Amino acid sequence: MLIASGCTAMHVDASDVQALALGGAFLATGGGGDTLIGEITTGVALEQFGPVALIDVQTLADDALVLAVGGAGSPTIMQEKPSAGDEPRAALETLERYLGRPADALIAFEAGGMNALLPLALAAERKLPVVDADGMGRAFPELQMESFSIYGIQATPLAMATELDNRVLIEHASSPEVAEQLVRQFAVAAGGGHCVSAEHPMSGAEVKRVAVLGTLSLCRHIGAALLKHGPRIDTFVASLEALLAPTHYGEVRLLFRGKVVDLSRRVEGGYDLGLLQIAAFGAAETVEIRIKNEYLTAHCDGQPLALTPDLICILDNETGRPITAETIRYGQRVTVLGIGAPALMRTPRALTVVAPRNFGFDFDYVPIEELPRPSERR
Amino acid sequence: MRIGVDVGGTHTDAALLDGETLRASTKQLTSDDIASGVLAAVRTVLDAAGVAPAQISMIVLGTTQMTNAVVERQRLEAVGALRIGAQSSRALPVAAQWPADLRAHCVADSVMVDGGHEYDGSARIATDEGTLAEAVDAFLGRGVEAFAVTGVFATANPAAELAAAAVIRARAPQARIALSHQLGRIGLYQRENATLLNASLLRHAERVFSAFEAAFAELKLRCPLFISQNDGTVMTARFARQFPVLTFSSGPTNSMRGAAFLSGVADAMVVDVGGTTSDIGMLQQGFPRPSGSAVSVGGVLTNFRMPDVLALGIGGGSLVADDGSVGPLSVGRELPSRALCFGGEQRTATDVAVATGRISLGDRIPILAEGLSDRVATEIRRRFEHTIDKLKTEARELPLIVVGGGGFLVPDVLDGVSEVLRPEHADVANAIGAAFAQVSGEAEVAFAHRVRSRDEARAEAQAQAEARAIEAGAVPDSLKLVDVDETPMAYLAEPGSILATKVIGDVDVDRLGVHRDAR
Repeated sequence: MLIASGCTAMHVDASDVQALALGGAFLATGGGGDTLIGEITTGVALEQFGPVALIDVQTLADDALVLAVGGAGSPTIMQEKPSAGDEPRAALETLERYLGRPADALIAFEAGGMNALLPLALAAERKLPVVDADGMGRAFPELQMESFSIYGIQATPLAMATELDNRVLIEHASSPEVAEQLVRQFAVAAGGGHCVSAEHPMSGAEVKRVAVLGTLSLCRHIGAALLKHGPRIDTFVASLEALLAPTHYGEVRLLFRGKVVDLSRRVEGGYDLGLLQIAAFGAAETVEIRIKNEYLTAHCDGQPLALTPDLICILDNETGRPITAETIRYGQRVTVLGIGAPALMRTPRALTVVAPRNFGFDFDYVPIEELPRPSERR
Repeated sequence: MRIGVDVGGTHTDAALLDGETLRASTKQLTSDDIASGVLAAVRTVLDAAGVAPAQISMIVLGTTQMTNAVVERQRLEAVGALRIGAQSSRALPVAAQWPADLRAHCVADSVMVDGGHEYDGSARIATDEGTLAEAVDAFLGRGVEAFAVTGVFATANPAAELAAAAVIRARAPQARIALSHQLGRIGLYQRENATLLNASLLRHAERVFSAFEAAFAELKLRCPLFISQNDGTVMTARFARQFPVLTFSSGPTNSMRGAAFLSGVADAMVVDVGGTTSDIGMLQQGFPRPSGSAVSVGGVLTNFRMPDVLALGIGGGSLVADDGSVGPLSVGRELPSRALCFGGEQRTATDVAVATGRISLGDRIPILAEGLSDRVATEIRRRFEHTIDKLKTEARELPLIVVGGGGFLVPDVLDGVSEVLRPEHADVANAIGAAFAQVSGEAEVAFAHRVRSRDEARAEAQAQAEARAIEAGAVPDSLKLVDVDETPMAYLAEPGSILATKVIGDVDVDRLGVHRDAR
């Protein structure tokens, strides 16, 4: 019923988790939190329960039930409260009970950060396959920014669970924005800052229409490339171009190399708002990155270099590893990359939700391919 | 008068200072047992300066013995690991991703119980003290006498950890206990790792630092003994016995602190040129700028921030190729037998300096091919300038302080450098840096913006940091706030932050000389 005959699935086991976590951290564009905790806990789950089938969306039967799972809340708090481990299963089974039917497959709603990993740990425990796709192709802070919501799939019914076995089922929300608020409030009220949600019940046919495809295997490949190239960022970028060329992502650009010379930030309305300034080595040229949990826009001398939903990824020059917005510090030496967002996230419909103005910026989206290339940088 | 001692892999350096005047210094080979070499070095500077032991008011010792114990998996004790907050953290095993051999040496077993705190310090459920007590009894029954206690959000509220310590003490007054809230910031995994390593080192630290105290007492040195920390400050030997992990990576820090003292410049770059490499770091307000990246010790990720130092493969013993390229291969410690200027067969960077008359060393002047010395000078200058540019965070020119035995390799004029400073006694900058170290305290406070203002939270974090610094031996009036670091807690419906502060002050020699029971 679930998988069409004649198709074989890739498998993910504990040895893949490090690469998946690194790739997830890369696609998180600064958000999604430090993936170390997710890497350890997912590795433990895959060792305990065995490997997970990562299936191509085309192998899903059109009437298969697919549920999206992931964590919501503060990644900083997860650094201290990594989870009891029971919450994902509790959320999933609460939703399954309401639907009167077990899930046939799980899907990540966010391929960036820890949420690239969480569905795998749960799938291992439940012996379910995970669809090689997600709802963002990167990280974004809010539920309505998932492609599932953008293309008309209801987030509800939605089930949430926290530590100490608090469980809530939202039968219906009037909009994705309301569902988003309910999840966030529950995370704080019942979870001390974090919860797991199971949401966006979809058929296999719907997943094929609304999901950003191939992103978990992409995470694994990007992570493997990061591990392979280490601090040799130029050769990593060449690998990344080769990896993304056959996909629905846009152009890859090395935007800037420099040092973090200023970082001002404040937390407001649940957002980590920041303005990051990166100066070229030994030169006066400076790039400004605006942060709202994720790195959302990059400008040089007032000229845009990359704008949300296109991806802005920052790597540490010393280690070649992605740096999160919560941990980036004054003085770090970094490389800024820009990547055209997946096609599904740059349609006129998607741009009503994930464009710069949706984050409060006073300018419109221009695809990275249409922006002037940064001049030759040192 | 003070004595600073820095124990390195090759040399044990000591310096005796009278106020700000260097009265005597020595460089000796590090002894296998460490202590006898340290004693010999201290005796040498006392004799050379003609100073009676009673005139010394403090000794500061920088040592790699605790780091080495972890790296070599020697002299570690298997500890009982207790985690409070199972309901929030069970999915993360204790000592996950540790090298198996180190885990076997450090961790006897682990038990997690429910309890702990939230980010604002509140508690959702009471700590399960019944299960905790059973676990302690079971550990004691197996002969485990050291405990590492890590509570979820103990950094916001230490109550659960303190209660656990009381449970252990009630059963085993002699037990060695490490509590995570005394060892760092938010981040359960890294803080627990540090706590486990610390607990595992307590017995060794007790022996090592007591042995130093006893040995110095034998020399009739009755002054307090201080130990160098990774951030360029010191702690009392009593404090070091409780927090041995804080001695990790104090070496590079001491030489940068010494450079600041010798030059009188607090904001500058420092290059320490050794036999094989040059380490270049940045001084900010007299302290090394910490690295932004996490630090692994013996294969274990901890939450310690180490000095941000870039290593360059150029040292006094670096081999020079025919095309003028320098290093990274080096004759290292064998310079006095293998370099051309000493009659050896290897052409080193030192030989080029001798040939061009920059220094005079050895017993002959090496003959170099036409133009080679110019190519070498260009190459060395280019690589120093490149590394300096990577290190700097602003375009403005900064002074460069040169220390270490190979300092003559650093050109007098460099792009990006306002002036090259070559202070006297730069060869023992590390021992001098140890002698002049100050005392620090750190604390962090998590707060919801709705409940408390940032200024209030900062004041509380600062007060806690000051209390810790005073406990560690600081003069209260001398304390200065040197770092405030805010980590936002994003994605919460109710915004919050974690504010970490650090204060630094002078060592309270008078108080510590009399009252040594701080903790």
